[in-house]
Amino acid sequence: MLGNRNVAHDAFCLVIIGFGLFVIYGGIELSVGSMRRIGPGFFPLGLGGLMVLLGIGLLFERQEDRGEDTRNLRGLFCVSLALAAFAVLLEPIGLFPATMAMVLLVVAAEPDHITPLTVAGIIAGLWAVGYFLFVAVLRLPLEPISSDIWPVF
Amino acid sequence: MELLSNIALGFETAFTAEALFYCFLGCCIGTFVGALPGIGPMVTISVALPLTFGLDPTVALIMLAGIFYGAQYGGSISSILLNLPGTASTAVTALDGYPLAQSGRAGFALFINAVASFCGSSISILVVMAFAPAIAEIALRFNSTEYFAVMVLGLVAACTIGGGSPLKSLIMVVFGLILGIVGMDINSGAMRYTFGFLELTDGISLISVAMGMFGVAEIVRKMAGPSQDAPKSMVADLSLASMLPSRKDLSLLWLPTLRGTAVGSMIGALPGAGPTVAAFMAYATEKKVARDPARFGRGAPEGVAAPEAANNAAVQAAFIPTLSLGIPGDVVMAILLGAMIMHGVVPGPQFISNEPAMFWGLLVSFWLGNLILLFLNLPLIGFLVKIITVPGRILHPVVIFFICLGSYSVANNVFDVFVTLIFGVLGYLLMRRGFHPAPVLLGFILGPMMEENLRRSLVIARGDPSVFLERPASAVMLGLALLLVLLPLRKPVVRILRGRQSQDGPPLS
Repeated sequence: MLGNRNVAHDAFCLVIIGFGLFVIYGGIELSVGSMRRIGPGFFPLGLGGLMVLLGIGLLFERQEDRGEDTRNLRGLFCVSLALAAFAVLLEPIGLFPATMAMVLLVVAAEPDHITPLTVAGIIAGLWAVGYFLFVAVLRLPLEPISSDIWPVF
Repeated sequence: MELLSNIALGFETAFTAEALFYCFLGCCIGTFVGALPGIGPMVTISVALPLTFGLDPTVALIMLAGIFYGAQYGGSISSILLNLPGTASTAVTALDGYPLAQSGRAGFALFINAVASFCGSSISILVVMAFAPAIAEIALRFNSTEYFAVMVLGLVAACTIGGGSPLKSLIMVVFGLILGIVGMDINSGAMRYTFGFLELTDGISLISVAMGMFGVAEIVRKMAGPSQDAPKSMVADLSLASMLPSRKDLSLLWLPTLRGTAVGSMIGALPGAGPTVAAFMAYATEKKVARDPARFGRGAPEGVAAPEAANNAAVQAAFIPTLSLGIPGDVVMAILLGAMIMHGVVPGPQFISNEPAMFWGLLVSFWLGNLILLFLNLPLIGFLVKIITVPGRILHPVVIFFICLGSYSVANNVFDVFVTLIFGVLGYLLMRRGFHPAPVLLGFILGPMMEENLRRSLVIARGDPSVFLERPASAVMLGLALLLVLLPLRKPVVRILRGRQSQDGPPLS
């Protein structure tokens, strides 16, 4: 039974069990209360315990081979970076530069070729949508370009 | 007669200019994103949700629901014309719709699709009108003990009926329930799992979880997909004359449509089995009752009519548990329920009696929306086909942009963009390990309600947990839930008991 085990799967089960234990620990820290008057830690404690049990159960579940196995780490990395760049740049520098950085990073994640003109078109289109829909109509407190770096007179 | 006066109230609510406009808008957006392969109604509703905060709650829900059922119409257009299902629930339609289109009867296939969808929805809306208030009335007699049991049963059923590994789905549900705990405890004021982030006081944003796990993760997965090139659209005769079916066709199709509707209405009301399962079941039923099953897959009109009636009926029927019990059967319903809560509407059995104008207005608007879709769809098909052919590399940055600003706009805070990012990465990693993100959202929405009902039950029972087994309704529901959990477990247990013999046993599904 232990002959051909899937190491990645087992490791993942251990992560799940570890997560359950962490939730249990958090629940105990929060005070479990009594059955008559349950404390803020009671429900988490139960769920953490359930998670541990399910994680142990998963260790014994036979895994099917999944055919589609194209890992896309480059995509994951670039798209994550795109969201992070947008979040970091949005307030200090402004909506337009944040959008530009985001689009460039998402485009970098694509395996296909994409012409610079198309990229410029996407950015310009999103600037228009961002400004008219989100700033003008929905009144998000955002500046196209931050007045700290581009003072408005 | 009460029903008639209620429907009149519904018409009053749904026939205001504002409601009609947003119903129309929701249907248009839904058709559009439904037709686009890759962006589902799920992501669209999460993006649109913060944009509706300024609207009246009824109008907001009318629009968000319009996106959901509009997407069913749009999805079948790409299935029929391009053999490329826009949404999973319309994948079956491609089996016979695409061969029909190839044989030059694209217009006819689209016409059947539109009419069968409309019939399925309309009948199913009547089913909702009949059943939802009745179920709510029964549920009003529930106290917190039964309510807790219903939620347990709903969550377990959603995990075990839908297919895939039930164990993995259960893990995802529990993960969702745990995510729902994060934030300040309403009873004690204690901060739970916030790690010192003040932004998490109100909990993790539903929109961030949904957009991260479905939107971001899905785009990363799509990027690695095989072909990114725009599919070639078929040159098809889409004139009105080509669409109209003959009398013979009509007499052939009304029964499959009705059967599809019946299957869809039943399946749709169950938790866990949404429009996709309904469409597959309806198709299988047609194949079974057909005199000549070999025609299926080669352009049998029934193969379009039945699954289309079924998936649209299922979409409407899914509102039965959502509106009568406050328990969502699938992810999109979970998001809509989240939208109700964010708009300050309390879901649950009291909803229909507390907010009659909203309930009946919503149902009437569904019907109006389907009518709009019936007439909107046919003339717009040519235009939609052009849009479907937009390649992913242009679409992806646009979707990420909406996800970024959508998460930001919930609280005007970039913190939520980072939360979306974390859930995107997590969603992708989980998906690669064969975990589906849908149950996470169900657990996330129901978590706080479950805890509250558990707490109340224990207070009422003076701390005696056996109260859940002493009350008959709750005992039956918990028993059913336990049965659903144990049934799929029997195989691995037998395997473990048998030890080594099992090595060449049949693979688990």
